[in-house]
Amino acid sequence: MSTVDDLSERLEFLQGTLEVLILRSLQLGPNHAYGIAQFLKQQSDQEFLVDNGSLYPAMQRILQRGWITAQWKTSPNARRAKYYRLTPLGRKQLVVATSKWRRFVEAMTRVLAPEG
Amino acid sequence: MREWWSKLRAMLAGRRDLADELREEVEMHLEHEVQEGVALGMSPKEAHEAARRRFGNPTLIRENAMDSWTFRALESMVRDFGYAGRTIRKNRAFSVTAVLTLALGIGGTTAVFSLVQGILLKPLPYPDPDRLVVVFESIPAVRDRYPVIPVNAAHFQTWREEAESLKDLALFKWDTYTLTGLGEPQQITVAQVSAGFLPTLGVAPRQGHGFTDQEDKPDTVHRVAVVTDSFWRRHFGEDAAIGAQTILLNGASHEIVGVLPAGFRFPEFQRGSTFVADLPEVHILKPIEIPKSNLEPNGNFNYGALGRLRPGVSVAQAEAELNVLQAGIAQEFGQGMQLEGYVFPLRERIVSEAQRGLLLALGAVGLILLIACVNIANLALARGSARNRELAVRAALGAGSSALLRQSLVESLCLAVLGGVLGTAGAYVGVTLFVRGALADLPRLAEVGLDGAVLAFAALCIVGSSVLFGLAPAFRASRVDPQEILRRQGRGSTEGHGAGRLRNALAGTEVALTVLILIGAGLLLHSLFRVMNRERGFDESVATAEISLPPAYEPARRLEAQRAILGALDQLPGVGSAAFVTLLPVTRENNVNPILPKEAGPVPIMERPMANIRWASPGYFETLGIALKAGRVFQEGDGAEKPVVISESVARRLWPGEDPLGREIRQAEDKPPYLQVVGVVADVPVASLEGGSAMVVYRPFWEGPRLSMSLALRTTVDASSLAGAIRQAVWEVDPQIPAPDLKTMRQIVSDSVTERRFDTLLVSVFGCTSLLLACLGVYGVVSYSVVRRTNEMGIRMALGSQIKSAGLCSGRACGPWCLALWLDC
Repeated sequence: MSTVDDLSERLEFLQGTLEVLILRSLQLGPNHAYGIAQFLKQQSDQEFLVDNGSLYPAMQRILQRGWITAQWKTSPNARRAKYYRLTPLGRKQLVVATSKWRRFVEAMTRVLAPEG
Repeated sequence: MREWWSKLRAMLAGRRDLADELREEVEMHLEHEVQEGVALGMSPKEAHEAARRRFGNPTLIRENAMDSWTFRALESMVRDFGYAGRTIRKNRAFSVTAVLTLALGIGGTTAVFSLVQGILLKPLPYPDPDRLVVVFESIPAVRDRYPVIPVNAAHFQTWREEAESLKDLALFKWDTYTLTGLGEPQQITVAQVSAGFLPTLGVAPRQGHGFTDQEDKPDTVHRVAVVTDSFWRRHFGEDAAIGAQTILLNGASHEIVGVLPAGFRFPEFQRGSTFVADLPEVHILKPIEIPKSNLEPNGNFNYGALGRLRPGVSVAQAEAELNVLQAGIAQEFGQGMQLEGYVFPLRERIVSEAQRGLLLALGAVGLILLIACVNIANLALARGSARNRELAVRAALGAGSSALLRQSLVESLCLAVLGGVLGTAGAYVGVTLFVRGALADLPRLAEVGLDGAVLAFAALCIVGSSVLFGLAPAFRASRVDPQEILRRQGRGSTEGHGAGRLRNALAGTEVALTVLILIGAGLLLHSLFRVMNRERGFDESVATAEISLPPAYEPARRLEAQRAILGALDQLPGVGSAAFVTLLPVTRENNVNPILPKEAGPVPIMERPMANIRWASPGYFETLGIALKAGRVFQEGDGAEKPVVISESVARRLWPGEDPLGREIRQAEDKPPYLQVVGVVADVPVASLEGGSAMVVYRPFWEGPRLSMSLALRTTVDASSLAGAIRQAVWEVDPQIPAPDLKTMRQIVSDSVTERRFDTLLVSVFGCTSLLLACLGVYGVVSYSVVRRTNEMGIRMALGSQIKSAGLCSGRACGPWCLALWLDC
């Protein structure tokens, strides 16, 4: 369902990954959906190209869980946009998820590229 | 949890805001993308197109995002149910047929199951009921007519002292007493029980105490009674103090010493005995009175025996031990006597007669439910051909096969629930009326009702039947090929031949089963017809009533009163003749005694012919219309000493081929006076029409005056119109006599075949129901095949085929009938 042409080259999201990434992108400050997508694209060196069809439902899920809140604001270029911001609960969730991902990545690495 | 809460809140707040916000958000997003493109040097148009391409389908994205705000499974279920509701309403003819058929099937099954549950499955309402047994004796010489007989008190004492396998053993018998002092005098059934009776049952009075061993001693009379809770409440109120209340039984004051717990019911021992009439419920228990004479080894076999097995002992073990004891007793008695004993589980004794019929009925209604399911499946498949286009359109618009399957099953479930609720309501009404009206002579009827287990069963029936009839149409619905069907423009479905054969086979089986049930119904009807047409030997229009004199009456006064009653009734206009007898035909047997011709040699007592001895007034034979075959009827002061009238079967048995008139009959004691035969009358059925006639010896009623006798009245007008006058005539003799309850011999005969008639009715109703269902089923199959082949027939006719052969073509659907015939042969 990706809108990019060279889909095969890009990484696909594992279950639950997108949620953590969204939370991480909001750690720096409130942002809107477009900004979040841009952030993820840049931060991942274009490896993650966020499909809007996944991004929007994921945002709704996080909203429902109370990890972020939304507010309409005027953007620097004088346009109205819906800004999302982390809640304390969201911050806590980010810490938990981050450490879980670290452990997961380390374990994967150990298995895939054993030392020695 | 939090997620649900947010969704719920959003749902309540309305989703419109959410949708608008999303739309705006997505627009902003797109604009950002456009701006980025412009910033990179594209023309606004190019930038716009690129942004659209990159962004994806905004509508789909919005919808996906919105979806996460809904309870998907729940909402699609609600939608399924809503759709099912619409479909059901739209296809009214089909829905009504299906719901009514299911209501019939599920209601019938539930109703019969409630009987099975209350009567067969529920344990008896006593502690550890599986260890309760009933003991009977048996004498090989008379076994062909009386397989088991009641218990002899002397034998009972031996068992109680020596039987190891029985923990407790108690004796009981029924008696009819006149209860006075509480409103109008009334006849009431009282159980005489030995002290061990309540402990054997495992029941203790909720108030007061039971009976003591002291009260068991022979030839003693103790004026105490234990009554049921409902009797106590009805007559004395809840708060009455025990020890201060008395009741008058046969004029003697009895102190109530105990009240049984609420819900206690006296076991229905009398089931399946030819010696005991079906007695009304027992509410009064009193200590058993055993005359010393009954404790002699050749005393009467008069009592019931209730026992409780020791834990771990089987019925067979107990019976084996009993037979050892019986052999010892018989040996001691001598005279070549043989004695055996039988032990039956109490439950079996109570329900065994009902068991087969009930299970049969449950099987039959289960079959009907099955037939109903097959039918609805057939109809639904037939209807499916009309629905194919609709399904195809739904599939083409994106409904997955699982969605179509689910939708179809939900529809079936809705139909089943509607039918089931309707059926269960019907079953509730039916069972309530059935129990209240005691429409069938079944044991434990008061324990029958729609309890939790029955409702659970009904729910199971609903779900089970919805799956049964819903699965086939559901699978078909899930497998529609939209392209194929839409291209064919609804010309009909393409179903494999296999499925068609299956449907034909189902309909054929249905017809076969129906024919089987109908044959069964026919057989039952035929045998009922034959029983009802048996030679009666008496006039059915005769009116009867039980007349019980006050117990204080001495024998001489009894006779005097009975003669006075006959005299008064004879004077009544409209009364042709009146007579008394101890026991009317088609009721039961009692006073069954050994008889011999006087001149016969010694015969062991138990190998002698057994005859019912009945006492009657001289007018009895004429009143009842029993034909006099030879000699005359006894008359008062006719000079004969001990005159008797015998039935033809007695004459045949005692003096085959000889003239019985003037001969003499010897009873148990071999000494004069002997009974002298003065007349021979026709045989009449004794205990039931089916049981036929037994040997009867009629003796003049003045030789054995009874307190309670049956009155027979031949009337020239309708007997019920004379009820008041008859009561008046009786009360003129003594107002203490309970008001007689008139019943014609026809009613007595009819009561005696209640069970048979009920079975017949039940099976006939089942037969008709399944016939109806089978017709529906065959209709379904035929109409389906016709719908499927209309096109083909049109082509055939266009090509010159005749109407007749087109009809023949659809006649191939008669396959089921052939199959049915084949199955039945």
